Amino acid sequence: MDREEAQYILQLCRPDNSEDRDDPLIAEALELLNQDAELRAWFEEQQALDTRISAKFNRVEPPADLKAAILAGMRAHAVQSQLLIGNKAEGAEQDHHTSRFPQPANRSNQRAGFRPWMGIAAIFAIAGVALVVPRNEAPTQLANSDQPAAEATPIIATAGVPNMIEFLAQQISEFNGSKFDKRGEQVGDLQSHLASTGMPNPAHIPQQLKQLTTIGCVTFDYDGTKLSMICFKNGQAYHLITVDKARVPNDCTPCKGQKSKVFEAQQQAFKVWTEGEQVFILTTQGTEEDLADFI
Amino acid sequence: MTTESNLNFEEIVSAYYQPLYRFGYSLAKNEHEAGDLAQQAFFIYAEKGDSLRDKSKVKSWLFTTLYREFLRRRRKDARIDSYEPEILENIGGSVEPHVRRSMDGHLAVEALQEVDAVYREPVALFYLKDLSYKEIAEILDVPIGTIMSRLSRGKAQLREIFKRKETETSANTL
Repeated sequence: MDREEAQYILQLCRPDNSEDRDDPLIAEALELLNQDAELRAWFEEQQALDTRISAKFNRVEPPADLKAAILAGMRAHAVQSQLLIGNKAEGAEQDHHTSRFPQPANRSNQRAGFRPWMGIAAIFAIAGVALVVPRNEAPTQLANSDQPAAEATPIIATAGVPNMIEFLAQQISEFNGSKFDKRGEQVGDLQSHLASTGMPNPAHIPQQLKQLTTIGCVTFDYDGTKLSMICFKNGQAYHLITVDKARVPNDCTPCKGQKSKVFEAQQQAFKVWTEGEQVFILTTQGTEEDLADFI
Repeated sequence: MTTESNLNFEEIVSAYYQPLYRFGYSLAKNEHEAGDLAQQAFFIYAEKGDSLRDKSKVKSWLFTTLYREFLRRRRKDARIDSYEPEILENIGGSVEPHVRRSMDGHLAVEALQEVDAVYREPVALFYLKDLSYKEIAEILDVPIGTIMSRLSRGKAQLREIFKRKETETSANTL
């Protein structure tokens, strides 16, 4: 390692940071300081400046009540989780509920600061429990509380949406947990089930989805075409649908040069793409933006 | 939720809410959104933290979550369909005037805004002290070699800007 390389690496070493100094690459560069006085002088100057910058940076103080607001929100979530667990024995639908977290202020374009009332507001927001799948079969008091008033929801045009997508939108909006072919929290278990039953089994799961817990899987029959669906939980439900490419109408799949195609139907977004001999459809309630993190 | 997990929440919040807020501030340049981002990262952790098998990854998980949440919001606001930080250069907003005037601690954040956009996130994370360059690479989802290069160039820029700002500040106070 020459001096130039050592300088490059030593820039990664923060002042008084033992973890950095234990890094083998940095440790090797640090050893050169004993043999090279000029390098040492340069390093000491760098460290002094880094200390000053870091001190300034770490002087940015959060609002005094931020910690309390975070803890209040998390505790509210914990309380809600306990309520859901407590209700579990009363019905089979509870796996399909999820808690809504307090909506960030900027989502409604209100730039309010953190105040103690936000923790309380968080509790009310979380109390609006959303149904992950079967919205229309939720207990009335829950189904009505997870979304803003219906009048505020923009109407999503469905003209031009392929019949297969319309079919899926309808199936998903009417879905309830008792219809799952198999329930499970591990995507591998659900894939094994699909494979063993001869249903379309996704050859590839998008990385972001792999990290999520699953709810279960189900298959649909669309005019003789089998579509398998695996449902994931992430604050709301995401569904990955797999179908053999040869069975998918052309109006569903991306055109040449396109990576994917997006549709919106029944307040659900559908992103369709092809990999190998399979067509994948990722869908969730909302718009295309709600899918962006998972592809 | 058990008492133990409540204790864990409290410990985790105490340990990371400040650096998370600072990272959020360096991204959003807005104290309200910074707080909001930090809060959101913890709430997502409350929802999904149980599925995190390696608890030593909590710190980088929280930073990653905050960063993704920031990008998600920016995409939503500006219809951005790419993660590339270069694209965020012109839409990050500016440091609020009252903050600029009144808080000396924001000098480093101000200086950071003058650093090329692509270097900003790694440099901000570097000066938060809590994160190694390997963790920074993981959070920003770029190769370690790229992070080393961005840190080197970004730090060089920041040092020059910082020195100039320190000199300006000193001159103004004389």
